Amino acid sequence: MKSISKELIGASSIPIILSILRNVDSYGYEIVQRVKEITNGGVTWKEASIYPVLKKLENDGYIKSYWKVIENERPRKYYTILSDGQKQLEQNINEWGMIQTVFESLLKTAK
Amino acid sequence: MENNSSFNLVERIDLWINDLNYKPYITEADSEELRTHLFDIIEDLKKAGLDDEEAFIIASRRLGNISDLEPNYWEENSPIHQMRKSLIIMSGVLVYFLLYFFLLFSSKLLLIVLHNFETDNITAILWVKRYLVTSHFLIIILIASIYYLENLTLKFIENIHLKPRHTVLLLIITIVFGFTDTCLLPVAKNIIRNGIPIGNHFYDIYFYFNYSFPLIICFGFVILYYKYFKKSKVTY
Repeated sequence: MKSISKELIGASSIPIILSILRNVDSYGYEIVQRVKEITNGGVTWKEASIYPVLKKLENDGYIKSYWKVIENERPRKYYTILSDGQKQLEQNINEWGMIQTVFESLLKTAK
Repeated sequence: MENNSSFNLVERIDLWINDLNYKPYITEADSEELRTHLFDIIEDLKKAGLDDEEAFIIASRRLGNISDLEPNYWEENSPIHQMRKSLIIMSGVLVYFLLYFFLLFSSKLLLIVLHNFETDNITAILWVKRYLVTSHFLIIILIASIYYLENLTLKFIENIHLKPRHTVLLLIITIVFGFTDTCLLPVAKNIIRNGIPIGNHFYDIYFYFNYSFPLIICFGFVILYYKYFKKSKVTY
């Protein structure tokens, strides 16, 4: 199966990250692994590329980072979603829903 | 597969992080985050049965070439870079005042030491004058070396990893030097009190120093600025 286009992966990265953080605080590696798990390897990001996206979301005020130190483990930078991030996610979900509706009606018409 | 016993994983990762730290668009927090990510991938690969070296090679490939993300990091770290530039400018200003107060208090200290060695006041003031004049020449030599040894200077500047605490340290040292100069002034005045002409000469030295020192620094700045201004403009 042909892999998903870079453009589509890029466009969907923000809502995917916000969706994951909506449920639980997480860190970069865990987010990448979660995406691989959910999509069965269908969506694979260049692993380091998640960090500029996370920075952008933090600079835009959608998420906040904090360092967490767990005993016997390396310090990790966790991210948590903020209220503006929740609103942005809802907006993204509406937008994707709209696109899906357009496709569905076009495909129905095509049949 | 045999474990390559000469491969030191921690050392190799430290080297990888060191390379990262030299990239101007990556902050210390970014490189720590990437280090943790690299370790996480390596741990998973080692659980899958790979040895240290294989795990490191695959992990660093999976992480990808960080240089490809340069434009993204530059954009997102832009406020931090602006602050870093402001910090360098502020440190430059502090170094100016640090040098200014250092020369002031050290010249007064020289006067006091010479007086304690029973040198007459005229000779002592002459030595203070020579000391301050020599310091001006040293500053001119420094400016000339920055002008002519451009590559060395740029390498030195690039290797400066200035942190806010360094600026605070510079500020504290400047305040200490300034305070020491203030404390030494009445002691120096007492020493000079013997003769009014000598006293006038003493005040004249510091009067001229208060103009000559900033003048030399400004002059040096103008020369260096003009050099770089010429280089940055198109010349036919």
